[in-house]
Amino acid sequence: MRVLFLALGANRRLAVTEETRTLVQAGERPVVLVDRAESWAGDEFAAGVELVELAGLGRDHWPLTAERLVLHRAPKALLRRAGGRRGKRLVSAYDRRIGRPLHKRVFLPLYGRLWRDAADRPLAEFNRRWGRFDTLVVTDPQSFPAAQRLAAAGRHRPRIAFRIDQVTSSGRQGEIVDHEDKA
Amino acid sequence: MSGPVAVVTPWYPSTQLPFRGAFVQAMTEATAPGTESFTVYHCDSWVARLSPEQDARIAEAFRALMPSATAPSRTVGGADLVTVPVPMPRALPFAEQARRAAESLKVALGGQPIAADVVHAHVGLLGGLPALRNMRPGSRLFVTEHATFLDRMLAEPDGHAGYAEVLGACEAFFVVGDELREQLATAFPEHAGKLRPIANPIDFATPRAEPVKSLHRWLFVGGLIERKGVSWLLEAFAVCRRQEPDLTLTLVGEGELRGRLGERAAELGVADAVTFAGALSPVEALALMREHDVLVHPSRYETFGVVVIEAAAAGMPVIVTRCGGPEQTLAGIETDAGQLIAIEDDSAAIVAGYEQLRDRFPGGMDLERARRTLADRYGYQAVAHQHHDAWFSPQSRP
Repeated sequence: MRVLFLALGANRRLAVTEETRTLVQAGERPVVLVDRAESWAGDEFAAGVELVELAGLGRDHWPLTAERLVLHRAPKALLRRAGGRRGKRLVSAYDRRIGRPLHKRVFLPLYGRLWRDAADRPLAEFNRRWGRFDTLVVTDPQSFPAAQRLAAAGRHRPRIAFRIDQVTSSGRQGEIVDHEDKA
Repeated sequence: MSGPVAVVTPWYPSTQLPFRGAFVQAMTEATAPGTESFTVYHCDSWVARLSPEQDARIAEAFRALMPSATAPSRTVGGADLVTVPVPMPRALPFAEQARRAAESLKVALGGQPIAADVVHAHVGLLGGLPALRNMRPGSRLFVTEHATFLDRMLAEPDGHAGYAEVLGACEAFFVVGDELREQLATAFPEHAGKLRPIANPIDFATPRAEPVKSLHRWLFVGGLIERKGVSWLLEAFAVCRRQEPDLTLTLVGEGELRGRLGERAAELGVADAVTFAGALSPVEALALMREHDVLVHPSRYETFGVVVIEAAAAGMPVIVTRCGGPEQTLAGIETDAGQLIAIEDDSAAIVAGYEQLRDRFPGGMDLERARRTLADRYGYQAVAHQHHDAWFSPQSRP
């Protein structure tokens, strides 16, 4: 059974790390979709859990490539060179105060207006590369829209769960019930 | 017995928050057996920093997804557990939180009313209002209040109004502890007749392997927050350990003080004797109680103080502040169970409480008598009987 944990908000982390561990112990290999892997740097996942970064997908769209070059790479390289010892700090401040806010508030909405599918590209790429899942475990509010898009993407409608014991069999901890097999 | 019974609650133990709502779980374990069917609807607040646009998008996606939600999971006592996420932005007023919980529950139920004749809500507004909004006509509503933030809830006009609506509609309103009861009777004198005392059920089934022989291994179980008095506990522990280097302290729980407590333990030179066990499930916490010698619970305010009774059930003495609940729950067995101390803004009362208990231990106390008395008051059987009597007895019907 393929289980995808959607954890794009990264605000119910203990549930994600512990419940994926439970699944691994039951012999499964769950996939966890997060927005940025760096937000989870301090969290320990069980071996066998695959962490996928949504922000790293769908980046082959030419306007995004151009933005990355003009708004991020070039200024950062310039700051790093001109800033000397303070270069690293300047780059981080630029990213925090200018780069990311501009990307989020100006460019992303702009892409959304100009190319209707722009916002969906990362998720579409995820869907294309990772294929169908039997169950989507939604773990935080920010993951609901992504879960909705993934659930609607194919002919096969995955089951939706909010805690892992909805997927593991009742009263028999750790054992997986395949609902389709039971049906 | 009869049924079906539904419970609507904002709190129930989950992987994310293993302690929250442990008493609702205990109540389920105590009361579900013997009923025709028993379903717990856990309206779980998922709070996040959200813009209004995000909030709206999430609400739309939630409505679209809920019909595909998997079957309920199984929980204690053979009950079903339906998890209903309630996505919401931060810092909403209580009435709005309750409204959202009611709306999410409605979506989860597919617009149908709760299929139960008896609906028992936990937490007056946050569980009561969602239950009331989703009950079928003719169902009977019962409520248990445990919230420690009742004053803040009632201070909001909409919160007060929502609460009054729940109180007006329910058949009986159970209150954990006299302090809460007085607070509610003052705020809603017209409904004072509906208020009934009730206890959180405690599991007395598992005895301790070996009786406590010394008071060396201290244990604290609860949130690492100011209200629990945990900073004073650490100071008191350092003072006592200067005289008795064998003492250890285990802190079970998480909270905003975690970092500061670690630093302070190092400053006091007791870091090697203090263990931060983190948040544990109620089962794990109970197991730890059977491996420790004394529970120190210096809380500033408790409506009931379930952990104090759990410690007594685990056969360990307690040092506990007179913080509302414990002086009532331990009434008549104070010295048998341990030592009640005053709430003070320093560590002196905890140190003195420990010294008094240590000096009379093991004499001057009767842990077995305390355990038996508390089992009669708060054991599963006692609490189940109280609930079943209210839900099913013909005399209890209006």
